[in-house]
Amino acid sequence: MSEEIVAEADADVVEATQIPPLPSLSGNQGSVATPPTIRPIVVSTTVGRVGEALYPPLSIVEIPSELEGVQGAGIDLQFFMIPTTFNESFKSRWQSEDLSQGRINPIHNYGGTQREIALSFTLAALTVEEARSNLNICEILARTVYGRYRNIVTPASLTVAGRTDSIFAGHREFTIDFGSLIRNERSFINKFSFTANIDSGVFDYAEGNDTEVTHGKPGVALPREVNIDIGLTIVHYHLLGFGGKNRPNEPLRWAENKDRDWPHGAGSIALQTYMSISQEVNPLSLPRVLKSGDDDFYRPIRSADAVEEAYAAAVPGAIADRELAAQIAHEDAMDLAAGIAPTSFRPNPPEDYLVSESEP
Amino acid sequence: MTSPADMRVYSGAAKNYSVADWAERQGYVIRFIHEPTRHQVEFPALISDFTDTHSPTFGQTHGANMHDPIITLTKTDREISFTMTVVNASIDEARYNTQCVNLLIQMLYPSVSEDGSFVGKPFINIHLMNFLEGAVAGNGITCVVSSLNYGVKFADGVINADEGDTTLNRSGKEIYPQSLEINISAKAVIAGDRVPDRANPLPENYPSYGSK
Repeated sequence: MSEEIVAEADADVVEATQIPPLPSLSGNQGSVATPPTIRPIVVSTTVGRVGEALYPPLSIVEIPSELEGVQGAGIDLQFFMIPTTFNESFKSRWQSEDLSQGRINPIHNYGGTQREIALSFTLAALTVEEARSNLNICEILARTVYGRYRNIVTPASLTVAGRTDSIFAGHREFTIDFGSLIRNERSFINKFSFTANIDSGVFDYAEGNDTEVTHGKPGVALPREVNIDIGLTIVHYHLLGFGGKNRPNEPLRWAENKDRDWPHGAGSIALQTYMSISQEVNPLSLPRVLKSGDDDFYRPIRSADAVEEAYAAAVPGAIADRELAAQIAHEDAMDLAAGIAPTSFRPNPPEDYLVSESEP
Repeated sequence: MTSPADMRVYSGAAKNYSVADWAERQGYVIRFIHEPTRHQVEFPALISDFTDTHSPTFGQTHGANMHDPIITLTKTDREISFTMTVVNASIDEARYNTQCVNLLIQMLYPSVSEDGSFVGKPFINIHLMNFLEGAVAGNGITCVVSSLNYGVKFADGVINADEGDTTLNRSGKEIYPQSLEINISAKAVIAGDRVPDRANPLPENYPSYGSK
């Protein structure tokens, strides 16, 4: 199938600026041809057209830094290529504790799951211009694994001359998209390597201007085929797992609640029920969990008066011990911080709270 | 409340062309159950490289005037790894299998509470015919899955959506491999068998490879 397309691409080299539509590539022989598309001449002769016919483009867009003074324009790359391998690994972090000799199973503690992707692809060239374009893509991709820098300007004072310092501003982060396999995932690139396949040949120098198959700059070899490996570490900014705050009382549904398949797209078929969207929840309506460090961590959530009032309502005629009410209010706050139901939420007050019905 | 997902092998319109039909007739099916949620998913068991390793850990004590150490068995681990191939014979099957693989990947994630903490550890029960079978026939073995690798070999071919054929792949961005390999590495959790009169907590038929 691919050979047919390459043969056709070879046949209509150079002159045509109107590209005929590609033949149908699957069993769908009755499909309607699209009208001719106007494209630059190089595109009409490109092997990359095979990639364009079969695969979606690879898009790598740098997320702008939040820091001021970061130098250089962000990387924004979208190109067609011929993928060779796509490997995605999901690694769970488990720690096992061996408790005692002879115990059949250790205790397994789960810490999280990481996702990494390794993608290999080929950039091929039928023309000098395309070979240059491929090398340019390699240059840009190589820069993705280097850090960013920013300038800090120190203004001149009476005693010190003004100066500009360059400070490291951390790694670059990207939004990466590759069809239904990588879907606008936020990630950083942890590997880039490219191999020029010299066995496939290079475009040689010939005196004069560039032609389709020779170039006019001595000392430059333009490879016809370049193989590239990149590695991605995906950083998820949405919830992963089942249940969670976006799915209150729905512990079996996927946490993201975005009405889409994850991690890979499955086209137009209906979502499984556990993936489909359920009602959006206002986070402010969810119960808040106090954590140490919060301003109100040790502050009672109810005043002693409120506790007294609640218990008086629960047990008519009971007369409260004010000191004990204050203590219960404090314990409520501690209970809530520990994630258990506070005492004052229990239906009946503790017995020692009821002092005496005869006491004034 | 949503019921747990129960995704069986593909049985759609193009089943006759699919390996799923043959696998189901033979009973060659691999099943995964996410224990915190009871979601389950099945695949035709196109398995390669199945390895099941039982590794004892010994403590050694050396004494004076002794050549050989005193050996003490501390524990025995069971590690399992296998590679499963998922084959797509039609775009309909490819889309369905993508959802099945998605669920399998999602099984590596836990149940989470509303405050974001992990509450259900992602143990996965795996039943692989007679190779991975629990003490009770038809049940699988609870596993701690440490890694799942998803690999596509583009040279084996891809399936595009129709739109990708007629326009120069503005293919609705769908791309499905004709075959993909999933490699799973896991540790088995042994289901203890506490019969009162028996000292050994290991089930009598553990491990069961289907010899009986």
